[in-house]
Amino acid sequence: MKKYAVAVSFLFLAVLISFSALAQTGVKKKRPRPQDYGKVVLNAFSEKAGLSGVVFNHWLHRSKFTCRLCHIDIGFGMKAGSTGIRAADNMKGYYCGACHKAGGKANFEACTKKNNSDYPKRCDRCHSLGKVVAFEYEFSAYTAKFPKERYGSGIDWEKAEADGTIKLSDFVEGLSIKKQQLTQSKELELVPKVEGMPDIIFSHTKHTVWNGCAVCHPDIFVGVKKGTTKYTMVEIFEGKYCGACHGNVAFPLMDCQRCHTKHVS
Amino acid sequence: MPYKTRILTLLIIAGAAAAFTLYVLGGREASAKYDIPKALPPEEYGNIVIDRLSTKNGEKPVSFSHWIHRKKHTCRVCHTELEFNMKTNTTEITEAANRQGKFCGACHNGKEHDGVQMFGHTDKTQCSKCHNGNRSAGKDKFKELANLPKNKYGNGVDWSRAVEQGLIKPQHRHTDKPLEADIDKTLKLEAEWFSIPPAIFPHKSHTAWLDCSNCHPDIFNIKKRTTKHFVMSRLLAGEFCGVCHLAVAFPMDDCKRCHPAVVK
Amino acid sequence: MQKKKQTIIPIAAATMLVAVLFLSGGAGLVQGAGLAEVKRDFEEVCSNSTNGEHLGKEELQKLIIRCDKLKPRIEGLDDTDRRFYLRRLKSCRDLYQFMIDTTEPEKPASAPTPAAK
Repeated sequence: MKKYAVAVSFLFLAVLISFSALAQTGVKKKRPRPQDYGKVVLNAFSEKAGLSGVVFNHWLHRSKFTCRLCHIDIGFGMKAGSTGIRAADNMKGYYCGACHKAGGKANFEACTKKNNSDYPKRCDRCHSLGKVVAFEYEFSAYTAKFPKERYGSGIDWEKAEADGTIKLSDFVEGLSIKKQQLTQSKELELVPKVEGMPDIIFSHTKHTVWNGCAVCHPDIFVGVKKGTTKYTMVEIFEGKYCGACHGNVAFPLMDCQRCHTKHVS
Repeated sequence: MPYKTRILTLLIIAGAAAAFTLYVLGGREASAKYDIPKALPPEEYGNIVIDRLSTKNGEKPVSFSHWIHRKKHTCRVCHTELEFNMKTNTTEITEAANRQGKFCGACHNGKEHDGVQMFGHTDKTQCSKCHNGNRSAGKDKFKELANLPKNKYGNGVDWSRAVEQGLIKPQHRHTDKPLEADIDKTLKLEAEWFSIPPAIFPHKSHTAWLDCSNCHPDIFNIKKRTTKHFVMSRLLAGEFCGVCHLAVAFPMDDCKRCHPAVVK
Repeated sequence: MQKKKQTIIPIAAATMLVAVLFLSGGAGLVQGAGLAEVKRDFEEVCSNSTNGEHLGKEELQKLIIRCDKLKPRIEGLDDTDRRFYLRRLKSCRDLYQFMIDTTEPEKPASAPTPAAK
């Protein structure tokens, strides 16, 4: 019995050490290229249905719609695979099919059963994981006139909206509901535990313009009253709290001073 | 051999084989030979040759000298504001990007910068200022560092002391408002081997040159558990401190710089 | 007597057949009507998700009760509609609950500012 325990623990240790030897720490991580920043792969059912996974790039949709429209009105989850979109849903006018339908806002239909002569090649437009597909819009050409900033997708989306380069739609017929006027919420000052790090001034206004309330509350931020009194950077880097968006879609966390703005004298 | 003993032996052999194979693949502890960059003369230390696209496009590779630039700018300006990666040939620098004012083109744009007329892609007669494929290009300028405090290794210059004494005033920003972080935490890092005194890491002398994001969280994850791999062998393999202190910042030849209690 | 049976039975069968056809054909219509009503009620209940911060606790609790009443009706819809509206209802209801939790009166000591490490 003791021998077994020794053998099993040795094996366990060997595997553990081996894995740790391969763990990639200690070097700078490879950053995605601007056109790949915000790329999400949706593959809950695609491969099972015989198609490649869907590759969704945020940048094109971000230049036309608010985050709230897709993530609340149309009901897309914040994590890839969490929505469980099927072709039938799209064909019925939900999810991608909310716009990508006959007579919809977009210029092509998602998952249609019509004109099946070019199936499945037609599907490659979205189901492009692992395929070389020529897309209608190319990133650098499309965003050439957008105001730029460093990191992430390299686009200053805030400025782009402010100066009229992009006009974001917040409504889709059939799914969006009429809403009351969005109310102003408080700015928050968050004090870091590490001495010397400037305070974070969190602007509700800047976030609610694109997100409304429900994108963040209560799923991402459950609130102080429920006991959350600190957001650690470790958790944020792992994709919780601010990291849910600022990990791989909104401006990335590597730009510390975007948030840590208030110097403590 | 009884059944149980056979199983036991098989388990032990399998475990050892797995560990050994993965160590070799990981390339960390298995061999004693490290891929340490060869020792360069002081005027060449920190000089790199960038050839991601140059040769493919019929141009000589670019030679870039860190010591020429670090007199004027801190690491932060290029590696945070201008988005240069730490690893050579991984930043997607192109002529077009330079002409748009990105990367080198942020300063090397044919215009005046800090009272100096900067060469750039605007003048075709100046290509060889960078595209010369010669790692020791610019060594005639090296004598300009003669008045700076000395150091035994690397460029032979103690850059930190040069800043402290006001002999050089490298700019900490290009167009940004700087992150006004004032982190003064000094860490004592116990050595792996019992006979080696601890390493002392001062944040202050690093934040004078670097942005927080240059190191955190990729190189040094603030989650303490992951720095258990923070051992000398991995530093010499180019991880952690080795990202900079092998080929650009003062090299790790100088044990006393980090392990002050070492008796040489 | 037998003649009467002979006429009644076919008439009864025909009536039943028509009724079945009507109901089954009408089921689609009924379903559609059900969805339209659910959508209308959903819009009424959840349109306050953007200004709920300024509604009182009682008002928010009433909205939550209405959400809970709407849930079984959504569960009666077909698969696609059901999944979609359940998700949206949950988001709406959770947000109202969050607003109640957040706008409760402050304790005597000032509320802790979220501190980041």
